Parts: sequence; C-alpha cells; structure tokens
Amino acid sequence: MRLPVTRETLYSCLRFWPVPVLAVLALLSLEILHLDRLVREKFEGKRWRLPSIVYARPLELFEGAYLNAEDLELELQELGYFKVKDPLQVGEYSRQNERYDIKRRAFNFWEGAEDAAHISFRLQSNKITELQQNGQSSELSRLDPLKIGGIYPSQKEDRKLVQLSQVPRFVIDALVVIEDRDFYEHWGVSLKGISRAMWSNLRAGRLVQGGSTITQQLVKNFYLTPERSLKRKLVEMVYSVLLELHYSKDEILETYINEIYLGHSGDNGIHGFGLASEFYFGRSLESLSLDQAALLAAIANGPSHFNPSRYPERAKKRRDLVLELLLEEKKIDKKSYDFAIKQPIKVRPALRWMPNRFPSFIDLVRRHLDRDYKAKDLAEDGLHIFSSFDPITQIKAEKSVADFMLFQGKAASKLQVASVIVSESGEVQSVIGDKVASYHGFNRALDAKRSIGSLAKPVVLLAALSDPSKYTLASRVSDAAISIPLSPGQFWEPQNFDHADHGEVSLLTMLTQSYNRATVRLGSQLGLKTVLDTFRKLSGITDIPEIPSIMLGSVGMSPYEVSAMYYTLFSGGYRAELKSVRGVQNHEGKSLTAYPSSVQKVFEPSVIHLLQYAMRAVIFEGTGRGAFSYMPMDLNAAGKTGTSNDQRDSWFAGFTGDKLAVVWVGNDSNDPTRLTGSSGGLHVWAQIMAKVSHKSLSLSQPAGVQYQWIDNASGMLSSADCQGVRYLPFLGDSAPKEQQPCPSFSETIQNLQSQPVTSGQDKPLFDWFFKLMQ
Amino acid sequence: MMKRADLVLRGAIPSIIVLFFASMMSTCVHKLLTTDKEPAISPVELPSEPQLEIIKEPMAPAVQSLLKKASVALQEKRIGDAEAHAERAYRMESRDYRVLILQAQIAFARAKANDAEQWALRALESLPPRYPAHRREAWLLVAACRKAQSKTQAAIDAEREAAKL
Repeated sequence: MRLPVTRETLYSCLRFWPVPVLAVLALLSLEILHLDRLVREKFEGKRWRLPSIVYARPLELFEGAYLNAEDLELELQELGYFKVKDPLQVGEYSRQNERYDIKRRAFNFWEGAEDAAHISFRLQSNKITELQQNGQSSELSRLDPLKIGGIYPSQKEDRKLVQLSQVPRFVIDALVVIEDRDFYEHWGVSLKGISRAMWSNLRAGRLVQGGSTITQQLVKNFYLTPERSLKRKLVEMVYSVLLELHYSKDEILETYINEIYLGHSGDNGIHGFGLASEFYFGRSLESLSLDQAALLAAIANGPSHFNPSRYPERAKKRRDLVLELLLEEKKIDKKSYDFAIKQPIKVRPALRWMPNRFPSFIDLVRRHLDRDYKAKDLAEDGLHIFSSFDPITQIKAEKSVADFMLFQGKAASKLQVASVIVSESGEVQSVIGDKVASYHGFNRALDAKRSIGSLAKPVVLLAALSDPSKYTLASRVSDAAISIPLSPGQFWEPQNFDHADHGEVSLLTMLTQSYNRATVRLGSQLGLKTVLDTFRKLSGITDIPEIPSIMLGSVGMSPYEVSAMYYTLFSGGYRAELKSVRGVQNHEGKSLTAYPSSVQKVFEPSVIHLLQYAMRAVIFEGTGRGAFSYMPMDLNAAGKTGTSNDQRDSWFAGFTGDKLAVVWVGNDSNDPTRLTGSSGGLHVWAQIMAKVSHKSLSLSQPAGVQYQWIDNASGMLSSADCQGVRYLPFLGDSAPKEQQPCPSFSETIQNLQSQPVTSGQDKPLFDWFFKLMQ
Repeated sequence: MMKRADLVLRGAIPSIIVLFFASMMSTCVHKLLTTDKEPAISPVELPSEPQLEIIKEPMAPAVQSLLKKASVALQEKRIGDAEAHAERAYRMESRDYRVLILQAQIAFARAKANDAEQWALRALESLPPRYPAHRREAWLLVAACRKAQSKTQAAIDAEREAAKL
C-alpha cells in the first residue's frame, strides 16, 4: 500500500524548511554563546591557581660572620648558581683560593627589593673578610633565598607569572617561529599551518608536525583535556576563534607563556616560561641568553621527549632548529646565530630542585599560617612566604640522622628519629619528622607525643632552685627508696636505672647522674602543684597531667613542644613562641603580614643561670658526657638526656651558644629500643651540634648570683685551696654559711675511695676545669 | 715747693671728698633705680640628667648598620621598616642591649605595651652595670609600658628603679 504522498503534501512540507534549519542554528548559537561565556569567564577571572612559595632564610654575609667554604658552595649549588672561571652573568660565581665572586640575582626580600649585585669576599679561617658589593666596601650583604617548597593546589601545578613586557623579544620570536609562524596573521586556526603539517606528515609517512596554532595549544591546556578526538579538535577550533575574537594577540601570547607545560619535578608540573627558566637554568626569564631561550622554546613541543637533562642530543637538535628558523626569519643576525649554536646544552645539575624536599618544615609553616590564611588562599594566591628555614642546618641534621641509622645496623629498620633545631632568636631552622627526611607522611617532630622521661628532671630542679632559702645546687637529698601513695592501697615506687641507692646526693649530682628516686623525693618535698606550675610556666602548656610521675616525665610531648620548653632555659628565662615564618607577601611583592619576635619573662635569669650550670655539668661529667665523642672539647654546651620507661623513648635536649636542638629516637610501635638517652638521642644531637653550631655556650654571671667554693662531700662552704671542692653558683647569700675545714691528705684519699662509683669522677680535674671556665 | 705741696693737698682732699660722696650717691641712686627689679643672682647649677654613656661592648658593623637604619625608620614613623631591620639585627645579635632596647622602642611605637615591657626587661638584664644612664632610660621605658597597661604600682616601682640611677 503506498502512502498518500502527493505533490501538494511534499510542497507543503518543504515550505516549512526554514524551521528545522533555524532550530539547529538557534541551538548552535546558544551553544556558541555558552562557550563564549566560558572562554571569557576563565580568561578574565583568576586565570591560574598560583601556589604559595616558601623561601628559606637568605644567607647573610657580613664581616666576621662564620662561614665555611663547604657550606657556601652547598648553598650556591642549591640556589642553582653556576661555578665559572669569571662570573659575567647573574647566577654565576667563581672561587679563586679564598676569594669568592658572586653575581647575585635581584630579589624582592622581605625587608625590601634589592637589585642584582656583584658580591665579593674572602673566607679566612672560616670567617668572611673584605666584603664588597658592586665594588664598594660593604658591612652587610646576602644571597637570594632558596625556594624550599610551596603550598600547592590539588592539581599540583607550579608556575611563576611573567608579564609580556618582561619577556625578552628573542624568547617570543623563538616560540613563534617554532610553534606557530603565522601567529600574528591567523584568527585562531591556521589553514596554512594545517596544510603545511599535512604535507610534512604525508612526505614523512608519519606524524612529524602538528598543525595547531599557539591559540589552539593554549585552549587545549587551559580549557580542555588532552583527549585526542575529532570532537575535541572541533571544540578546540571554536574556542580558538572565540578567544581571538575577544582578546589581542599579546594577551593570548602572555597567557600561553604562563600556561604552557614545560617539565616535571617530583609530583609537580612546571608551567610557564617564568618558572621553567629558573628550573632549567637557575635564572630569571629576563636574564636568559639566546641559546637558552631557544632551548625553552624547543622543549615546549614535548618536555619529556626533549628533556635536556635526559636527552641532551635530542634537545640540542631541536634547539638548533629553533636557531636556524630564527635566522631564516631574520629575527637574529648571523653573528648571534653562530655564537648561540656553539653553546652546549647546560642545565642545572641533576635538576635537583624538588618542590617540598623538606616536607616536615613546610608542614610547620602551613600550620603557622593556617591561623591567618584560608587553605584555599594559601594554595592558590601565589603568596611569598619568608621562613626561618636554614637549608645548611637541615641538610647537616639529615646527614647526622643518616649516619646514626647506619651505625645502628639492622636495628635501624624499626627505629624512627625526629628532631627540631632552634636559633638563639627563637626561630625554627630545621625540622626532621622521619628518618627519611623527604618523606611526606606522619610528622613525628610535630605530632608524635612521646613520654619525655628524664627531660622532666630540670623542671623539678628549677622548681627547687626558685626557692633559694631552702634549696641550692649544694643542698642534699636522699636517693633512698621512696614510696608515693597514688590511691588507697596503690603506691608508686620509682627505681633508679641501675637499681642502686646512692645515698645522700647534692641536687647537682641528682641531675648530672639523673637519679630517679632523689628527683621524686625532691619533687614530693616541693609539692606536685609547685612542680606542675613550673612545668606550665616553662612550656606554656596548661594541659599537663596532675600525677606524681610527671616528675620523671610521664607526660607525652612532641619534640617541637619540648623545644619550646627548653627554649626558655636556652634564652635565660624568657619564653617565646617559636617562629617559622618571618613574613608573607602577595604575589606582587606587597607585604601582607609580618611575624615579629616576642618574648615573655617567666623566670629570673639568676635562677636559670644555676640550672644552666647544672645542665652543663650533665654534659661534662654526667649522662651527657658521650657528646664529646663527636663535639670538639671547646664547644661548651648544656643539656639533658631522657629515657622513658623500658627504654621506649630516647631523648636528648640541649643547647650551645647559638643553637638549641631536641632529638627523639624511638619506635612507632612503642616497643623498647634498647637505647637510653645517652646511647640514642645524645649521639644524634652531638653529631648535629658538631656540624651546625659555631658558638660556645657562655655562662656569664648575672646580677644576684655569687660563686662559692663548696666541699663536695658535705655541701658546706670551703675554699679554693682544699681538695674535693667545686665552685658553685648561688642566689644572693643562699650559699651555706657553715665552713668545712680542709680535710687532711689521708682523709681526702679515704673520701675519694669511699665515694660511690657513679659519682666517682675525677673531681680535681673538673674543679680545675670549672675554675678555668669562671 | 711748700706752696706747691700745699696747693696739691688743698686740691686733692676736696677731690677725694667729692669722689667719696659721688660714689655714695651713685650707689643710692642705683639702689633706688633697681628696687623693683629682682636682685641679680649668679646662676645656680641645676642637677643635670645623666648623659647616655657610649656602650663599649663590641658589635659587628653589620648589626650597627641595621640598628641605625631601624632607628632612622622609627624616627620617620616607618614602623614596619624599623621592625624589619631590627628583626634582622636581632637574628644576628640576640643578647645585646642595644638591639633589645630598640625592639622595645619599636614595640612601644606599635602600642604593644606588654611586648615592649618584656623587651625592655630583657634589655636591662643584658646591660652591664657600668651604664647607669642607659639603665635609667630602660627603666623609664618599662614604667611607661606599665602605665600604658594600667599597672600603676608596677610603674611606680619602675620609676623608683630609674630614680636610683
């Protein structure tokens, strides 16, 4: 049966032909309008998520400053400075015997912007002399700071924005000539370029050339996915045309220069020529040479394929092609071409700059800034964060940890280490949160709350010394067995490490030998409340368990919290909030937030002086004396070992004249380590201090402190002429009044023979030594 | 000759008498004329405030330079700049009186009276006793900080300490 389609029916249908056509056109228009809106929105809004950059401290250079050649060269290498015979360009340096010449980069420091400068000086006996800047004598100069990491958006893109006006002409020419010769003529899509590419590919029999314009490449990176399909290609073309309709060539080029993917570092993509020039060459885009610019343009086509570090031959071939095209297009002259083509491929050694090589410290920075900035702003606003991080101190601390682990052999597999190093001014210079320092994971330095053991004993002693009418370093306390009632029928009976009774001991000996029973007895005499108050004042922590065993450190603290507590002792009685950030700028270099130092007096310096004296004795004659296996004898220091129950935690906290360091060694599973503070934490600590500290602790006598000669055996007043005496500090007139006559020679021998082994140090030698120290 | 001597004597005596009375009269006239004015007195030496001593403890030229920049910035009310330079000096020399007292002055300029007081106290503890004028200045700053915090008695105590110097 045939359908009744008559001529009239057909004509009437065809009369309405515009309707479907119009409908399709309308739909297309709507789609194009929608795409147009998307194109403009993204282009004009925040175009990129800029990660915040964290900078280390700049290395300060001034007359008389301590600096050894090894540290300086390490810093310069980390900064990407090239060692040359004669530094001509920014980012180069030379060494002639003791003399250094550095062409320092311009940088916008926290304190203000500084131009590029020629810095020269000599290193004589590890001190800076004859410092000059730009040919003139200078009191002070500094290197630009190392970028140590960033706070990234989830996409993990890294870039440094540049304006088109900052980009050297030959960089633009190189890019255009290799990627899109007709850039300034086409309207987003180049039919000439497509035809040229098709012809080249046909001749080669494979894909050798793309036909995408710069605009298309930008669209692909900026708006679309790298998916290869006809549909995506068509959408890309529409986007490109729309982009060209709304924006100038310069705007498109600038966006491309900041967007283009040019390599990878760790987890992070390197986007934009600004960052790529620093990444590959260690210098800013403005200071690139012609051959370097040509290389960057060459890489744009395939950063992995043309990676100059891995495939230098391939990279050179492509770079040379760029140079040839520049010459062909008359963008450069023959002379420049001849010079550039002879240059070898030279990029930063090992492309060692990895974002977030120091994750534990970056973690600390992030937590510091979380108080003032939202996470989104930190990750996207391109802030410049000036931190207190010292890369030299960190690297040396990491080496010390690695050496310790090597020494531990098989036991190292279960052990973990955490450390914090703080400067005299209360700035955190180094944080290690894992024995593998670059590991991004649980940050033990900040988050591992472990029993501090005998690190608590200085707190008990401090509480006692704060009452000079009753207690001095010469006061006696019994180390006999002690039983502390906890609850009805329950008692706590602390034991000494050697399970021995040491009789009546001075408070000084109690600390140097770390006697548990004597400490608990003293703490009980003072009262738990007094000990707790001292703890809180020292540490600033209010949440401390109110139990007697805190006198032996049964309180969980992180190494960072211990550092804050011991800083009060290091500073002479002033508590400070440890600092990791000095200031924050926005991505244009405008200051946003400053974090100045502050201090709060919590103890009298005179009392702290007594405690520092005792802690110094810990190292010279007590449980810390193993420090001198690593440290030079003239590096005066003070500290305390800490071992928790069953040796689950091994600590050492101590300071020299310029550095405080706290080290913890233990197992994540809280199993016994077989290490004491002396055999674990102390070893790491001493190795660190031997490498990073350059200033001996100086115990200058404050007002209100008097030194007197005291008989060791009786704790009574004596004189310098007697044997078995030591020179002890006292507050005011709290020294004993009762005089002990000098024993006869035979009595002295008897006393020395009858003293317990653990206190049987070579006292006359240390007396002499301490006399020398006064 | 007798006549000449006689003549001299006869002339001299009246002259002397005239001179005597003239001087008496001039004194009286002078007194009369100056009765309403305050009598002239020789200037009395008022007790002067102690001059600030030059602190002789050595300091690296770099730190001196930074302190100078910070002081200038503070005088010009560029507190942010002053703070930045002072912080840089503090990092190099954390226990010198000159650095610590400047930190105190900057904190005071920022109206952070408690911080300023703490810095000034720390500065005092780092200052050797042989600089009483500096100690006095520091105690006066402590007093000003305490007044700003309405710690009246403590401010009085600080002023007493300053007065002793």
